[in-house]
Amino acid sequence: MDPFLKVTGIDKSFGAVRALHNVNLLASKGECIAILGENGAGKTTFASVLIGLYQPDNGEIKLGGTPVSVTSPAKVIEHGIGMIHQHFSLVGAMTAEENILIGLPSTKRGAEARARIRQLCSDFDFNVDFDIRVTEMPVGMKQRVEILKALFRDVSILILDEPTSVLAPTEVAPFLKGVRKLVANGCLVFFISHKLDEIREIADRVMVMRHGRVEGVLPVATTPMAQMSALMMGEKPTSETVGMAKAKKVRNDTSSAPDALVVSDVCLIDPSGAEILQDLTLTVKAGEILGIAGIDGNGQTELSEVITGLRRQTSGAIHLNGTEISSASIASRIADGIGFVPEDRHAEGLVLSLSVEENMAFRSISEDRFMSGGLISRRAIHEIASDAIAAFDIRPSDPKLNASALSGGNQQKVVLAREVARACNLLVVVQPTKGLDIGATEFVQNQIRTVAQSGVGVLYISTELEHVLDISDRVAVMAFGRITGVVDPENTTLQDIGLLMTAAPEEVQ
Amino acid sequence: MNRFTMQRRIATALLLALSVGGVLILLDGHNPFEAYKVLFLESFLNYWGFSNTLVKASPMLLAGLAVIIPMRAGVFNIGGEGQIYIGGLFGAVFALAIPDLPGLLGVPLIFIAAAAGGAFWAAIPAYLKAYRGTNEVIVTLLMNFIAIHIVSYAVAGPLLAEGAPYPYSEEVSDAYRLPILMPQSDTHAGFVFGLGMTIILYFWLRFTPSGFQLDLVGRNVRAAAYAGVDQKKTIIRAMLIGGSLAGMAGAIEVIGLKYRLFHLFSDGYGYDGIVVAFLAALNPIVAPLTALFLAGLSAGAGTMQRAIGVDSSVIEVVEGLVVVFVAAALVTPRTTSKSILKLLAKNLRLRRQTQRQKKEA
Repeated sequence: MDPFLKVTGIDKSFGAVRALHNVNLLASKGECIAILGENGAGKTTFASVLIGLYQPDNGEIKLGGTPVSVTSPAKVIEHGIGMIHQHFSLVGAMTAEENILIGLPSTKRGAEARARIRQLCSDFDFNVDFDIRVTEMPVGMKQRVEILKALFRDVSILILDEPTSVLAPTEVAPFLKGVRKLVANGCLVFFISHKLDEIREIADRVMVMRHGRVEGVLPVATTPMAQMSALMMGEKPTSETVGMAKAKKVRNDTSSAPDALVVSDVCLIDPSGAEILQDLTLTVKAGEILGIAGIDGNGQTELSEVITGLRRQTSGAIHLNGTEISSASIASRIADGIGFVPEDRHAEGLVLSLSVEENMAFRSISEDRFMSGGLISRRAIHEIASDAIAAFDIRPSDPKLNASALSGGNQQKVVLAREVARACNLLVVVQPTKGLDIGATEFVQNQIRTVAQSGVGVLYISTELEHVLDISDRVAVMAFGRITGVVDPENTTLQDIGLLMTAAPEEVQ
Repeated sequence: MNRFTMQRRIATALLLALSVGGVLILLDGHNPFEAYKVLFLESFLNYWGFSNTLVKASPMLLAGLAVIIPMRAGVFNIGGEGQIYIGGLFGAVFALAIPDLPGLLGVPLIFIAAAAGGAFWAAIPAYLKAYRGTNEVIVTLLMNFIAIHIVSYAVAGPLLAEGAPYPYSEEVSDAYRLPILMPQSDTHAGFVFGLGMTIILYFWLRFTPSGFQLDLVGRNVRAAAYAGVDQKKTIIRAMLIGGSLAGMAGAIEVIGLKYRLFHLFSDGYGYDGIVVAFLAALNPIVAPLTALFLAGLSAGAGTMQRAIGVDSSVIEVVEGLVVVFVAAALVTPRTTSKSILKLLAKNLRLRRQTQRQKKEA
């Protein structure tokens, strides 16, 4: 007999990027398969091919022995495949029932349908309030409504994309219980995650992906976590490339330097009650580059925002050069010489409709160097920007050009040039090499090294592990809003870091 | 969309509006070139016509600035009309309550009182927007009607002049009247005052940190926050400035033109201000030109009808077309622009309504 789901030789490319490379999988009903991998490993692309969002370039998907091609959302429903995305597709102004029945003909929305929803709820022990609108629901309940929506349409395959990342810690256990019930009822569940502890709790098998390939499909019960993490991180880079990278690097001895930044016991709880940062403590010494490694969405962005004042921590303290700045405004932290290269240069770091020279100035326009006689000096802005454009080799070199006319790499240089010029005590950079080519990456890295050598403490946050290891004097690994370990980039393996990045809390302590 | 594309698109929109209007004039059996020539000559090159244009352009300019400044901070103030009314009311009450000051002291104080009135009226939607997240478009719009009725009540009740056949207040004293610039005409110094405001605001936006930061909030809220700019305070500041400007337009109508506070005294100038602002691509320095253009259209319409028999309602159509085409020119795939389109259409309806109300009254 054919297996329930048979995926053979799936390839998918986006331009020159091979997102999926010869993916094969056999799966049967009543099974939970976890899909594990780093960012960009191809997890979500694989799921998108399954639900027909992308058409594969090669390969075949067979369902119950017959080849299927899923080309539209309607067909997906027909085949009984459902996917719960990280961002829910619910109508906020409607109740749970209205959301579940949306899109169905009115004949199928009667009392019978309502009774069936209630029945599904009690079958799976889902706690859903049917009297309130979706906007008033906590995140966990919204997620349950999404799952009910899929169940009501009789899905036999349910794909959950990082389902627990939006949940508060207390909501996770009941959620996993619900998923197990689904599996027990014969549903095939794909559970996309990078949290090893959850995978071990919920999944029967784990499919490890890396760079678009399946590195292995292993039974969870008999595979040690370290092996999963090793597969996910891949081979260590060859000693040759490591040697080259390290040869360029001048590590600063900062052991006796004063502390530039001290973050102590910082907690951040978002309005839905999720703990984004938990008792986070770290120190950056003057002249030191502290790297923060971790998988995207583990609180790194929020940490940078708490340090720079864009978010206010729920508790804990932040000191800059020994002075407490825990409740200082953004403007005063800017004045204190904290440079910040934010993750999203388009939405935050730049004003695309302003010229390059105005972008070089806008974050501290009232600084003396941009002013003359109490008014903004357009000439000073022009001159300062022209110098920076020359120093950073920004192209095209016209300071009057709109920032939107520059390429991503050059835009990043504008942000960096501005923040480097301002940062005299601390520089916080988030994903500074995202989307940059090798040359631009190297340039950005060198600029950051130069800043550190001038005695500025640097917090370097990135999900690109090779870059973090390459540039940092010390590397702190972040997972679930906590620092799970601090390592010396010279004497550590990618596997160790991978374990720290995914490790369950009890394994860390 | 950068400012250059915006200006080019707006110029195209204007040309299109005039072309479609030309076709209508043609259908009416007249030569459109002749009609537009008369319109232009009458509004701008004829002494009385130009005087009339300037009189209309004064409140339009201030009302336009009252839209531009909040819009530069990302807030859509369509409450100019209400702010004009409350400004006029405050100015008139001050002028009538303290009638004996010398003009050089009294007039600035009347302007300050009117600005305070307009700012007060704008402060309510500003607070609701900044601290409660309420949509400023709806609040400013609805507050227009409240303001119009408050003024109607005031001039029909406590401020009603003795023996008045129509709801209006007593006259303000001679010392408070704005000087007449063109002898024998109604042309008061209002437009010059508006030009002064234009220059101040232009320099403020360009050369002061607070003006620059206001602009930043409108361009990119997140980048502004990242630069340490307090969005809430900026919204309030922008709306207070907008309200003050519209309020002063009200004062100009009272002490420049009518010398009394009249029932329904503003002829939809608050809504004209929206057109002035968008025609100027939100650049204050261009606003005097667009205000003159719009005022010229409406001032010349009547003469054009008398001179060559083109129905003056054609010009109302052209004004409407300007709104529609400019709105279309500003549409980008983003929803904000779509809502601007809707709003401008609504603005057109409202203006009609105000005019109808006025006729009925």
